[in-house]
Amino acid sequence: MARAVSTQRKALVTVVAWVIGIVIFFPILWTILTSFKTEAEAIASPPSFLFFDWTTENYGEVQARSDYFRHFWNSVIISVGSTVLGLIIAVPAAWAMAFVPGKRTKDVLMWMLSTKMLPPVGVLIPIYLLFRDTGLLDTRIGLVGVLTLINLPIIVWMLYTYFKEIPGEILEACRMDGAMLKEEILYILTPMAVPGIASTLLLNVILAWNEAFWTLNLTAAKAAPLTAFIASYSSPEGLFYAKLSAASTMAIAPILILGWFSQKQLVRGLTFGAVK
Amino acid sequence: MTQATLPDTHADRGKRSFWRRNQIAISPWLFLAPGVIFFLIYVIFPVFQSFQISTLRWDGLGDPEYIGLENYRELWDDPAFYVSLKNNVLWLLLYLLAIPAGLFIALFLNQTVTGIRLYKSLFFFPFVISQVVVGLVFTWFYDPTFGLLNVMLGWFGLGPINVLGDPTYVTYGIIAAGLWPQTAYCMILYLTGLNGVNPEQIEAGRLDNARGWRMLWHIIIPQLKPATFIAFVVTIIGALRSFDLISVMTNGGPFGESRVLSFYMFEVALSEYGFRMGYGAAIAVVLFLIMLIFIAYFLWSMYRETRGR
Repeated sequence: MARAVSTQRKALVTVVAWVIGIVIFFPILWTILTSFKTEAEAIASPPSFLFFDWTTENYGEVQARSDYFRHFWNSVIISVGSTVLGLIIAVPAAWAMAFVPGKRTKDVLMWMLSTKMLPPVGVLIPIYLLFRDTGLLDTRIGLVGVLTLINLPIIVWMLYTYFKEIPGEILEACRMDGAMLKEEILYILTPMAVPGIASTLLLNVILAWNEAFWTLNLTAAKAAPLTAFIASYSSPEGLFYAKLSAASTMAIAPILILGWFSQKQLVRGLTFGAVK
Repeated sequence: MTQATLPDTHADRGKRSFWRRNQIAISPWLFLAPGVIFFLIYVIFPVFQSFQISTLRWDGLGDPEYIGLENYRELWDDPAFYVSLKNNVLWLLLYLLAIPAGLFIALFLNQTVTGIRLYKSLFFFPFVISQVVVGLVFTWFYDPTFGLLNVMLGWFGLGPINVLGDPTYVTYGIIAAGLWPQTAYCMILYLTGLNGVNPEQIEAGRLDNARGWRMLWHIIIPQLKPATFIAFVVTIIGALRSFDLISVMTNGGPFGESRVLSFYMFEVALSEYGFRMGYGAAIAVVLFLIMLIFIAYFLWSMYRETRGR
């Protein structure tokens, strides 16, 4: 879409674009800024933007009140655990769909993805009862299991789109050379599939990290991840905006940092590999 | 795509076990099996169980009593059910606005903007943060005394409005919070999609005198179809995640006006308001059937399209 654009017009577009961008980003920026204010300054009117006494006391208080690191650790185990488990199940399935497609492969894939659009409450009661009766309520293992199953359709779908890009001729060629399945997978497919698997991994860690419906419903104290940690600050216990901001900042910081460094893979992942 | 019909090149290598002879043919099915089995356990089985529980009067602990369709009859006369249903529809419809909104921002930004890389990340962040945080930030934004919204309204001599305390505005307020990350996401999706738009077709369109709307409608949008498809799927999933935002922002209030079906079910079945598993399951089944119709339509139109091509 190359067209001669005058400097003036370009400057105008840039300014408007940045204003939109700042507006979009503003809630996050504001939260981070407020986390460094005192409670009194957080609710001051008119609010001060940058010129206030910076303090980190909120962070200390949040850690003292609700043990951030324990929740953080739960989040790491649940999100990474469920994603890795999901990949172990999904890689073979996606491999089968991408390289040995049947007449109905596309339909199966669509059907899997479409179940993601079903409301999770449809299965909440049976799963809750199952968890209660098997003692899985408020355990990390239970959550890893549920989140694996929830994100499985997305993992399969993403891997499928990545695997699809690996040319089938390469497989034919190595099969001609007498390679067996094991060698084919180990030496040919895996190296080519690593970028796709990495970006699937990344996106699903983030999805699992943010998953709130199941983590809020199935945990109480022991296995509660960061989503539950922040949700505990939503109860109307008075005016806690600076501490609430500090808690929010702590909860989103790992994802923001991870996201910043892996943006390129993530954009591909966020579009589910369907858009290049 | 043709491996399935490849001749078995290993067959002439002398005697081999059944597995070694057939592994290329069998392994796809073995590979597919765990995924499908897990999937059945999670999706299909509990759905039927929900149906079954919905015919019971049961607190989840004692002996269940079979009451047939009594729960559904009660639901039919339950005003709270209709409020929740209405809100569900509102969520779905208004959430879909994120798609055109994202498209237009992306079209605007597709012109050269200085610092586009850093710029994209600004849009990127809202989507990767948790809905719970989004809910908290917006609760605070709407706060009638200290919230930025009312500070801003004050500049124009308006307000104060207690968005989350007002039965009329509350659902719209929560949806607006959800639309923030959703629009940002659609925008990224379309911006990525626009990179792949064929410049030759645009040029051809220009020669044929297509401009503005007609260019957009007939040349650009058709090429963005994959992006639109994903935007649609993710937006529906997002609209169904309404539970997170509602439980953080209002807990269904005021007077239950911001409930959606999933939240109402949670209240009935799993919160301190009571453990009516049967009634909760009935609500879940209704929501499930509604979405099933929706998804059936979606699958059907996808199916028709793949046949048409």
